Amino acid sequence: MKRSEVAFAALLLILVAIGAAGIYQIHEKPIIPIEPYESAIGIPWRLLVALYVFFVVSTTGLCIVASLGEVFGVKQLEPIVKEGLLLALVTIVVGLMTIGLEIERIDRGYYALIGHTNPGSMMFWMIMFYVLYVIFLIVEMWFYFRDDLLRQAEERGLRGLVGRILSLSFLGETFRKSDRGLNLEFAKAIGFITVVTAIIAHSNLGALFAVNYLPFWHGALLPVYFIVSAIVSGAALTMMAAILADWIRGRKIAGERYEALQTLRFILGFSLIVAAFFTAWKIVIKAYPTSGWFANEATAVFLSGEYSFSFWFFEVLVGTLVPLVILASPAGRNVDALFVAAFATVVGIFFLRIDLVMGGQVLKLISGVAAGVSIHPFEVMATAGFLSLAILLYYVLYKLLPMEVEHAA
Amino acid sequence: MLRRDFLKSLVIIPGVSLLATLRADSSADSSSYVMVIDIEKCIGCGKCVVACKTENDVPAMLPISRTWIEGYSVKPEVPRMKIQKIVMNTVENPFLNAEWKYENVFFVPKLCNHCSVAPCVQVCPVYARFHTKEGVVLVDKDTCIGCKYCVTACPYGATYIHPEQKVTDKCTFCYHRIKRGLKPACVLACPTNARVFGDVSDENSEVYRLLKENRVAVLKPEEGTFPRVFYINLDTSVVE
Repeated sequence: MKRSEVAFAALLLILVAIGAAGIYQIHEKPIIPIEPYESAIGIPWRLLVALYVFFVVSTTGLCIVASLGEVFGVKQLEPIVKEGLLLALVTIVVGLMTIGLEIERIDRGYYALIGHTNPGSMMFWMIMFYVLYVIFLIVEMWFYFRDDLLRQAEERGLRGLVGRILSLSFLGETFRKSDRGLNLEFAKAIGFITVVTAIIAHSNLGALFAVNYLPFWHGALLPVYFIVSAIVSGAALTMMAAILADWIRGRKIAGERYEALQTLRFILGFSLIVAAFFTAWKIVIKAYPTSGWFANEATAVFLSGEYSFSFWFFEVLVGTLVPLVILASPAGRNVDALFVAAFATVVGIFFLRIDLVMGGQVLKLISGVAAGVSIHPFEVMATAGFLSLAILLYYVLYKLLPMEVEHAA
Repeated sequence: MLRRDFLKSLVIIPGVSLLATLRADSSADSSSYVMVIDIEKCIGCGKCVVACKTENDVPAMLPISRTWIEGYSVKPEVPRMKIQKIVMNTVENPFLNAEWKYENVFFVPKLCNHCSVAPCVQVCPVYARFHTKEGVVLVDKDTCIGCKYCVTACPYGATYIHPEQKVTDKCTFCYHRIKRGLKPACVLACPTNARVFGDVSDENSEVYRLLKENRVAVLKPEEGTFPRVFYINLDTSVVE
């Protein structure tokens, strides 16, 4: 292990510890205003919910993009399927952790799955489908990684041990045999179920917001918009992960991985344009004078109110225009430029989530006055912790799993 | 006792008791609780807020409350009224030394509207919210997971997270009191009888008379929630 890697991992660990301290503080002392909604300042769903939405948007998008290569036979994307699947697993695990620590009584969380369920609630279906999704994703990955895990099991040291445990080859001779073609067929079949579950779960998340009376959320197209923005997020994150992995390994990106990036460039650009259409028409329709003054006031928060910087700078400029220009111009053939575009998109998507979750709630309907919402330092600490945890988990799993085994022709 | 009589009694006693239960049930089913609030009578003294917080174990100094009073000061203007709004939701009364900007000042007490079509009941993922047969919306605090979806979904801002119990909390119409025939704490504390509570299905009740004799309004009728809290003399500037 290089010294820089140790320093990097240590830094991430420190950030995770800071995040844990932040979460502890949030639950120990209710310093964050938890107040009745219209009667006082303070909103119920805050930065951690936005972060949760960001994570689950990412996992859905990553699953969709990886499935394109794995299930739907887009040959160009096959070289990045492993990165996509692993990142999808990491983001959903950290995402569920985020929401688990955000809700007040996690000790009763299982009520939402068995016993006390309310099938009329969008949140129930979202929880149900995300739990199913995690299970399907793990099974899919097991079949997809199985051959490489068996090969890794013959190594010595920690990686060999991980390979022996995860491939179940320590159980006996029957588990050591494997048919590569059959495994991939299984992975493909389960992958189809996984991506369908992911899309249903994610559109349920969109519906969870859309059924609300709040004018900025309310609308039938929000679930569809969630899927589109998931593809944006997934394509950008896969791109980042693939480029970073090759940079760290000191390898020049060429050949089929370069082709995969160029396919991602097309997917990202296309989905960005579709998402931009959704955003533009949503803003125009809600801000249109005949839409009623609650809708007008709700959009005014973004156009000129307290979320205007976040909207115009991060969401529109950094998250949409900059990546679109890079992707559409000849600079998109350059891998470094692609990385910049992907990173800008992810930053934009992150602020888009904050705008959607927090900005949607700030409107106080009485006289249309928006409440002053401040993000508390503990929330920022927790957010930094969760993001670092996701990076750290991905990093560790990347080292331990057979990510770099070349496919036998 | 003859064996035949004994056997008869075996049939009759359960039959009578079953009928009695059915009758008791049907009489309980018919009661339908509502609250009628007269804006003209409210003087903004805040006794209801204090009484509610004491009765229901709500932190006195935190700005969370099951019932609260909004003080409005309105200047009529076209196209939009000029509105100044001050909220009393702790035991301290901000109206006592408030500087009202405009002349037309009135107070609007608010609480959970116990909607007949309640968004919080609909969205709760664990069924911690439910209607009683009298139409009161209650929270099952042993089930609530604290996801705050109901807080977001409530159009009236009537629900919040209790900072000590870590579950959602809201007005219950003092269900523990009304089941014993007592008035809710806020109704009892009101010195001007601005709040009247009762069974609207009973034609001799005061709420029935008030609803019959006055033009009443509910908050946010466009949400389709059909509230059980009615207002007399509600101003149009109170839009929520």
